[in-house]
Order: sequence, then structure tokens, then C-alpha cells
Amino acid sequence: MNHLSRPYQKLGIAVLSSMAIVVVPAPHAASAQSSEIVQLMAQEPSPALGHSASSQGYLGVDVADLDQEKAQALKLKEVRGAVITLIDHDAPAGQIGLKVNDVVLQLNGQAVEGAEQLRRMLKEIPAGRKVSMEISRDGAIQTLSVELADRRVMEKDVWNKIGNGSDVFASGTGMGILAGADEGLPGGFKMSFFGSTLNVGAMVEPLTSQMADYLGVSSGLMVKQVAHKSEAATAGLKAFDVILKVGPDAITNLAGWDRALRENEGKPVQVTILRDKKQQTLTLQVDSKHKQGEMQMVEPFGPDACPLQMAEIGPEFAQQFIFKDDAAAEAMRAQADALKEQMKARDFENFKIGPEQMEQMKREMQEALKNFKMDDFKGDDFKFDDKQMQQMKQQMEEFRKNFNPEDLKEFKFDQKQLDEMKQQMEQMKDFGFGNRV
Amino acid sequence: MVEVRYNQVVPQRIEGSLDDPAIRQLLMLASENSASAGVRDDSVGLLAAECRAGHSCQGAGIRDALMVALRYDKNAGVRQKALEGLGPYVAQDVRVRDAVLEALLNDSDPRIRTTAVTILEPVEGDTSVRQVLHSVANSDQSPQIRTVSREVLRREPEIQ
Repeated sequence: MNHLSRPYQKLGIAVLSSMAIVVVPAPHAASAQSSEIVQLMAQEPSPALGHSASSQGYLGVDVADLDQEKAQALKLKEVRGAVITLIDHDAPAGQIGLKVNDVVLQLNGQAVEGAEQLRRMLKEIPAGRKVSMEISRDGAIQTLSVELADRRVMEKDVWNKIGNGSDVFASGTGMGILAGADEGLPGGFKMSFFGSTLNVGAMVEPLTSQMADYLGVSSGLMVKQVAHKSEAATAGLKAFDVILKVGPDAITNLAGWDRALRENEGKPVQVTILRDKKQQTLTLQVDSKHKQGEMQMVEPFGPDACPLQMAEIGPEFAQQFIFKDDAAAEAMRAQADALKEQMKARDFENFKIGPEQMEQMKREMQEALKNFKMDDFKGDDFKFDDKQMQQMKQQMEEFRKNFNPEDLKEFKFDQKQLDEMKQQMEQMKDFGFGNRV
Repeated sequence: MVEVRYNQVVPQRIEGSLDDPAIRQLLMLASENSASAGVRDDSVGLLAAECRAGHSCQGAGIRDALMVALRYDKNAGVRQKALEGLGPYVAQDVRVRDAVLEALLNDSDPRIRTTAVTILEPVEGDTSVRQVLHSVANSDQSPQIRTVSREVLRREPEIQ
């Protein structure tokens, strides 16, 4: 990947990550642990979305040619068609019940001679289009109708299902979301909630190994959010606390957390947490009265926005954002360097992103987005090597040394700037970037 | 005159084949016995063996019991047996696949996560499986699991 081998582009990524930390307004005072954690989070890769495709239709099958022997085994009258060798059960093929060893004989009334022809035909059909297929299953002919999916949208949906904790992924282990709020959190985003029946109102996620190392613990769960008036809030749990134990049991993952809550259903239980690098014990009442419901998430840019969330969102897209256009990367790097210099000087009174700068950044981002092609990235090929990672880490470290979060307390964006940034962030999210690191 | 009411627990013994619905029912109950890990281990082991052998594991009952054991049992040995019993159904039953994915993402025992990667191979083309493998390949604590996940991901099928 030649565009990754250019040092300034790597620098651009790292610096952009740094910027995302820098540009956080600070309406709430964050603890030392929290702000340090946020900086660490900037380095954490989030799970990658697999492929990304254009609006080409996606059926979700892999196919092969038939030979005489195979055709006979599949009870076909002639050696013609494309035999399905693999199904994506999350895709339309899986939804309509296509199976391995089904043979596609026709697509939209056109005879299918072999696998390559079927692939070509599928490539030409856009997402959202309905197609009819004639298949042979164990010699019996069937006609099916199916709407091809947009693969990118489908991938996002599947990832949301995993990440947000669907009934499947969360009912057992919580998958990080344990609601219990009789009243949702203020703000905009609504997130469907399918928690376990034991909900205490805390959104948690396992510590990454890097975070655990940093905090000096072997494992634990980080509290991402606490719902108002929930049991977790009553117990005194706060965002960025790290849950270490429930009762005597060490909590190492979501399944353990869920099991521990189940075992203590209806009872108060001692929860050992790490806050500001010190262990504390809280008493959590685990009720079973809460059922499935909805938990409202704080709107990241709203009046109640937590600055730390913004910091998370920034680096996430920054990690995913690769400038294909050299000039745009160079310009962004220069701006980031200037920003760093301002931060070094701690000249916050004079530090502002003016409308012109904002407009320029916006234009550059739009330009970069235009030139960015997700198809250029084959997930497994795209990696930073150790040297590159080391270089990025050094840059982050250097930036941190010169960055004092306390100085940002007085620093605020005006509403217009915030609105513009929000819009840009939304555009980035809509673009559906997946982390490739 | 005093009246004392009490419940008496009388140990019972029942023998039968694993095809016997009453035996199966008892094993399923025993698989959720919270008091004894040994009882749970034996019952889940027997149910899992039935599933692996393909004996009347089509219905929801045994599979559900194994999925509950995989998700909730505190004992890693029990969860491992449940996982192995579910293996043959990963390509047939999306609920089983999702339970295995969940184990791969969340189980604390690296042996279980390793087994989960192997068991998921028949459904390696599924979007959700690849996404979870991507996640694990990047972030699992075990280098071995990260490597195994990457190897599976390297076999990129040409799915359309």
C-alpha cells in the first residue's frame, strides 16, 4: 500500500488523532484517570468492518463450476449452472434459505452456464434490486425471489447488532449494555437496548490489554456511561470507573459481569472499582425489576455532551482516515503542526479556529473524502508495521508531554463551530469508515 | 396436640437410555444445577455427546440447554463441553452461531475462544463471523487466538 508508506501521511493520521483530543471542550471536569484514559483510547483500534463495497448488489454466495460427477451427485439433468459453495447467513442468500450445494440455473430468466457468468451477472445488479432465481436443490427445481443488499449498509447493520448488543449478543453477556434507567439519559441518540433481565444502568466494556497495562490491572470492565437514577448511579458508579470485582470474584469480561449480577439478583453486592488509580468499594443493589427497554444515549455534541465522548469519536475516525491526496494530507499536517505549536505555547486566549480555518479544513476533508476509495483497502493487507506503530506512539507521547488538559478548561468553541464540526463528523460516519488498523 | 408440616426430600434414582425423554429432561434440569459443577459437567457432557452424535438434537430443548450452559455456566469445563456439543449445528442454526460468536468475544477462557474459532470455520463467510474475527484478531489478549483468527480471515472467499 504505497500511500501508507509515506511518513507524512502517517504523521497526519497521528496528528489528526491528537487534534481530536485537543479540540475537546471541557464542560465537565474530568478526573485525571478519565482524561488519561481518553488519551489512551485515542490509540485503541476499534474492530474493523470487513468489506466495503459500492452500491453493487450483494446476494451473499460464493459459487463454483460443476463437473459431470458433481452434477450427477446433485441430481442435475445437465452439467450447467453454478453450485453454491458458501453462504453468508447474514446476507439475503441466508435470509431466503439458500443452501450450500444449491445450483443456480437461472437469474432473472437468463440461463446460468457457470460460476463466472453468475458472478458477472450479479456484479451488474445494483443494491435494492429484486431478482428471481431458479435453483435446483437435490434435483428439485425452485424459483426464489430476493432483493440484493447494499453490502456496506448490511455490514454496518451487522456490526451495530454486535456492537450495540442485540438480543443475541447481549442477552447472555450484556455486551456492555446493562440498562436499568427508569428515565433515559438526556440528549439525542436513542439506542435499542436488549440487556439481560438484570439491569443496573451501566454501560460497560472490557479493558483492552493496553488500557489494563496502563492502569496497572490485569483486567476489568470500564464503565462507559451510567444512566440517571439507575442502581449503578445510586451506587456511585461513574463513567471511566473500572470494575475489578463483584463480591470476591474478579471480573474479567462481560460474561463474568453478567454472571455476577445474576448470582446477586435482588441483593446488594460489593463492587470493587478503580477510580483515579485507587481502588474503592461501592455497594450495588442488583434488582431484577427492570426489563428490556430503551436507553437513551447522550448526544455527543449536545448540551450535555461529555467531552470524553467527543474525544473518542475524533480519534476513531482519525485512525480510519487515510489521505489519498498528498496535498490534502500535507495541508492537514501543517494545520495540525500549527495547532500543536499553539498548544505548546499554551496560548489559549488567542487560540481559536476561525471561520476561514474551519472552512479550509472542511474543504480539505471533503476533497480527501472524494478521493478516498474504500475498495483500495483489502482489510488484511492494510496494516501498520511495528516501526510505523512505534513512530505513531512516539508522536502521541510527544504530543501528550506538551499537552496540559487543565489549560483547556477555559477553552470553548462557539455554537457555530460546534455545529460545523458535528456536521463533518456525521459526514464521516455516513461514509461508513471501518477501522483498518 | 401439635401439627408439624414439613417437606421431605427423598433421593430418587432413575435409569434409562439417553433417548428417553424423561432422562433428557432430567439432564437438562441438571445442566442448570447451580450447586454442583460436577453434576452440571456430567449432564452437559452427556447432552453434548448426543448432539455431536447427531442423536435427536434437532429440537430446541437440548440445544437451548447447551447454549445456556455456554453462556452462563461458571465452570469453564462445562462451557467447553457445551460448545463442543453445539459445534455441528453452527451452520444450521443462526442462534448457535451467535452463541459461539458471543463466546469468542466474551469468554474468559482462551481454550474456549480457540475452540470457538475452529467451530466457526463452516460459517467463515458470514459477515458477522468475519467482523467478530476482525475484532478478535485485533484485540484478543491471547496472541495465539489473534493469529488463528487472522489465518481464518486470510481465506477470503469471493462472496457476492
